[in-house]
Amino acid sequence: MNHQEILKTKLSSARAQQGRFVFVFTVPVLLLFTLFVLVPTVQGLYYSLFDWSGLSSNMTFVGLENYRRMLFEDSVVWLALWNDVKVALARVVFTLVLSLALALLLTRRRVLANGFFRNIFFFPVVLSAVVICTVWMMMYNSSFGIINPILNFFGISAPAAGWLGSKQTALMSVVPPAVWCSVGFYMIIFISAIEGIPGELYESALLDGASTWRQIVHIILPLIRPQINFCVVYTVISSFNASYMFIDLLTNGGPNNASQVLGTYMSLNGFEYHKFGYATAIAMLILAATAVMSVIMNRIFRSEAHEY
Amino acid sequence: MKRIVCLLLALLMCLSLFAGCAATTNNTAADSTPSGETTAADPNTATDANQTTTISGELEVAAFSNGEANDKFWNTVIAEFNKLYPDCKVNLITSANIEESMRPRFVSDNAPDIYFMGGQANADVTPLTAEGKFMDLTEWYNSVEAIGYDGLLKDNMATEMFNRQNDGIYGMGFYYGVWACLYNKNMLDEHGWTLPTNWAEFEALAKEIKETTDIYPIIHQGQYPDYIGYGLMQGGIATDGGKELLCEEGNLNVDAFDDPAVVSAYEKLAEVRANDWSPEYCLSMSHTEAQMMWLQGKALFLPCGNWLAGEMADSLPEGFEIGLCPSFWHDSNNTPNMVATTAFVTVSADTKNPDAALAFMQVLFSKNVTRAVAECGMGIPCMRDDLDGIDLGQENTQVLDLANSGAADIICEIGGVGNFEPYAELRTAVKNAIASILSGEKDTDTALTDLKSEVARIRDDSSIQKVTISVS
Repeated sequence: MNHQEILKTKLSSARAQQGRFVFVFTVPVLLLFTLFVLVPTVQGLYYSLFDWSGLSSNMTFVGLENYRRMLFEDSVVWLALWNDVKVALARVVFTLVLSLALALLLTRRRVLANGFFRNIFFFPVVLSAVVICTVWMMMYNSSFGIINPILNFFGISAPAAGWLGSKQTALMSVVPPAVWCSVGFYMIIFISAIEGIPGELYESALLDGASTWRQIVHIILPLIRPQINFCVVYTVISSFNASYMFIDLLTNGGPNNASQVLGTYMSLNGFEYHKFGYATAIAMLILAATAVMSVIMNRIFRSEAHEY
Repeated sequence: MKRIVCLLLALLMCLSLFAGCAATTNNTAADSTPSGETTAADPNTATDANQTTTISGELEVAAFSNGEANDKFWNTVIAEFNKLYPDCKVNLITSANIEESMRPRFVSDNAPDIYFMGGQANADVTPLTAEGKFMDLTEWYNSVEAIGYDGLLKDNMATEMFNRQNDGIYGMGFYYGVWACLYNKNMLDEHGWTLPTNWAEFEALAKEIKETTDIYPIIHQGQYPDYIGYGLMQGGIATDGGKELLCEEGNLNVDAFDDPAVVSAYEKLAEVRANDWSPEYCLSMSHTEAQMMWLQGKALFLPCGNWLAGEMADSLPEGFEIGLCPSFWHDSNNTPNMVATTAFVTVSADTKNPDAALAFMQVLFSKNVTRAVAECGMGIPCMRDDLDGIDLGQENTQVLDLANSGAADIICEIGGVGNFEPYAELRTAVKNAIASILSGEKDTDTALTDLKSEVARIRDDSSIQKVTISVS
């Protein structure tokens, strides 16, 4: 074998090894994705075509009847969808602003015990939803909670029925705990992205007389655009899928459906009304709404890649 | 080496996805160690069981359990069963969310032999019965002898709490609780107040409380208007309009909601709000929060049931005395009513061991187990027993005193899941009506008009399996 043939053999062997390596790491994940995401989604679509109590194997095919009822007869579905959109938008705005602000503070400023604060701000991310909601419920309590005295100091008074009991405030009262428990996660992502920006860019900007604010706007934000995009899209997805937990634990969808979201309404229909077919139709609506909102947010925050 | 480590880590990560398993407790008869003090009666009296077949094999029992006392109770039942039938192995599954693990099993026709449907599982009773998942116990109940008693089981049943549908018995309660109005006995005695027996007396008391103290007459579980509905309103409706009126409502008769007794019950909610007899902020409270506020002395009355002492055992202040009275939400001077509630035990229609399952049911209603029901604080036993030497707890004792003295009637729904609201959609509609009046969002007329529309919609919805409820 001459030198070139030996080289070719070695190259093809290396490629085969690389291929095996990629195969070993991607196939299990793809299998799990298929088993736990794709298959249940297709099954859900199937069940949504039936009238099914979810308690036996007796299922009656009703075609698109569940969808017709959901879209044209059930006003609570539209109310819940609109509530979901409002909560998602509020969570995106507050999560983005707060996590970015904290990340900038902890990277661009000399802060004593920087590591300590990173841990403190990240701590709520590891708490369970039940713990978070119990704590916030106590904080919202009109009798002994701490939120009302603080707001009273600034001249803001709570509604007589309490933040979680008033039709006007029940829904948006769920946003603070939801934002609080996720800010730390995105803060870490932004910190990682900001720390990856070369220092020379700041130096040259400083030499050109750029203030801190201009550095943030013209250097940092453009270069961490992909992370911002991820934050927005993932917050939208998690809002549609996980707001259910906060609503269920804090307001139970009330008062009188004021804080009902699609997740809680789906659960109500599936597990209390025993209309599993109808509940899975609502689940399909959640899937569609999440996809649409994600695409919209992706397009709004999309930009060409900036490289440094 | 690095690649092998990466591979192992990836594999570990994939396997960790299977780590989340349901938290259920599985016991077998071998694991259950009965507590010696729970069986006060002579166990030898259990040997005259009315059985002619050999009970053996295995039996699976799935039971709702929300604590140590419940687990202790079920272990006692299994011990009693095994004294009679040592050849039958009982596999016990308990969980506070038993319905989550049992629902898929009903779908796959692999239901447990015996299923105690407490807690959230109660909501599955009607649809599962309609699906034919439970055995009809009528013939068995009419012929089986009682263990530890003279005569048949049915002759020794003091309070029948049955899941009766389509002329069959598809579930039986072995204990019951009642919805009522709890009050702070210490507070009542300290201020020299008198318990109201009707609405007019409550109005006078409420005015006095508001004028002389900063205490509220009532506090309620705002996020769960069921409490004020069952504990106060239903008792009042039954007292003024007759207990059959509750059945009319539950059977989706729209005209029932025009009955003066029903209208008056909802108008009283508006009166409570208008006079600030209940703090408005309790609309945002969960049942735990509201009950905690009541224990802290913020209000005199709390609509609830005779299970509160057990539920809040760790939070009861030292020396706090819970009083229990029937609802005063009525205008007449008729004997007040208290609505009974229970959790059913059912036998699977496809049980693999029907003889053992029915033998287990017979033991569940035996004298020894009846005493265990009381001792473990499950509730008020349905079987007749003088329960000598057993502390039923202050609330249960008060319920029995009220019933035995004729000061209150206990009414039991037949045919649904109790509470005279056999449909979850109806429960939601009533809850929304109550909440909208208490929050001031709607006046009584508007709330009742909307409620009647919803009742008509539920009645006309062919996808909802209908039942007919009646009252004992």
